[in-house]
Amino acid sequence: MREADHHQRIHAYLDGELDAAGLRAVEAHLAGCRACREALAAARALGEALGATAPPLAPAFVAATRARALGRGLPLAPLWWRGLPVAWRAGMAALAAVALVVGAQLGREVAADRAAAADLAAALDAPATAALLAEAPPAATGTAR
Amino acid sequence: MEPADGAELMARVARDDEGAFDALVAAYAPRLLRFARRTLGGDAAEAEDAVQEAFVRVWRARGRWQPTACVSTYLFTIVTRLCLNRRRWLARRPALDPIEEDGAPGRLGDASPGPERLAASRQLGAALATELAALPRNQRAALLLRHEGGLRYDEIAAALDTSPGAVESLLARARARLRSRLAGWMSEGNSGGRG
Repeated sequence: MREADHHQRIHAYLDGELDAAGLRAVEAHLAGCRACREALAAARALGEALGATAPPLAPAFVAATRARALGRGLPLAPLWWRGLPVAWRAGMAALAAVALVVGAQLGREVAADRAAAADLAAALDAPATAALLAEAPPAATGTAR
Repeated sequence: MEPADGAELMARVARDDEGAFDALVAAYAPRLLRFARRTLGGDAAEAEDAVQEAFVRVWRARGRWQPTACVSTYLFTIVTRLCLNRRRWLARRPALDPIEEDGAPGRLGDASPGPERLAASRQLGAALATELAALPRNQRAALLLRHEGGLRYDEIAAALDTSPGAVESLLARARARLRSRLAGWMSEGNSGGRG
């Protein structure tokens, strides 16, 4: 086995991935190879540093996760929104507010037009108007109705 | 690595037990969050979102839970897939803030570390976070699945869509690189038997 292969096998050894024959082979190699012993020690120290106790959970995380899983409560804002700079978010919120006000005003104007149209329609439906229209030429009836 | 009652909790979750779901989150989320944060190059908000999404999927798929499966492996595999599917983190990798990494305290030495040792372990935590973020994506994921998740090579291979032999190679390269980059810190290990 090449030295590079031995170097790689010590990782399987450290991780408990070798069978009995593999274990014996690596241990025999380790006994005579200082470089591999040092690499093994370094890998073990790295593993200990990586696997140290994880920091405690934020208290709200469990409840927030349950709310999201069960579809209850307000979900978190989507990530694309949370990732935007504050100035962008403020600008987009202001734009949305302006759009809301303009939309409401347009809605009121359309409603006023509709009311006028309804008055006209009611007037046209009155019996006197109907009689008047009956005397008018067909083309005029088409445009009035 | 596996909490003793993980299988029992998951079995209760499969029977729609919301309390067991809370307990499952409380038991596994700390390690999953750190794993996700490290996998995503230090982005805490993305990590939180990925881990929550993983638990949402666990809840939705609870009826399909196989009691023979390992809960820890199941959860780490889902979080790995969610993290690796997030493309944005690739662009964000340079934004890592090493201070966000916890200090990897305690296990390198004394049971009651003094202030100097604690400061040293915090510096190690920051250096480790920086070097982890600089690793190629698959090397980092393999290393973290092994050390955070305690997954076997075949389980890591399944999570990363590769072979167990490739996992061994990924781990060897990741550890060699970190060893050379963290040479000053890694001298504390001792040689000898398996760990």
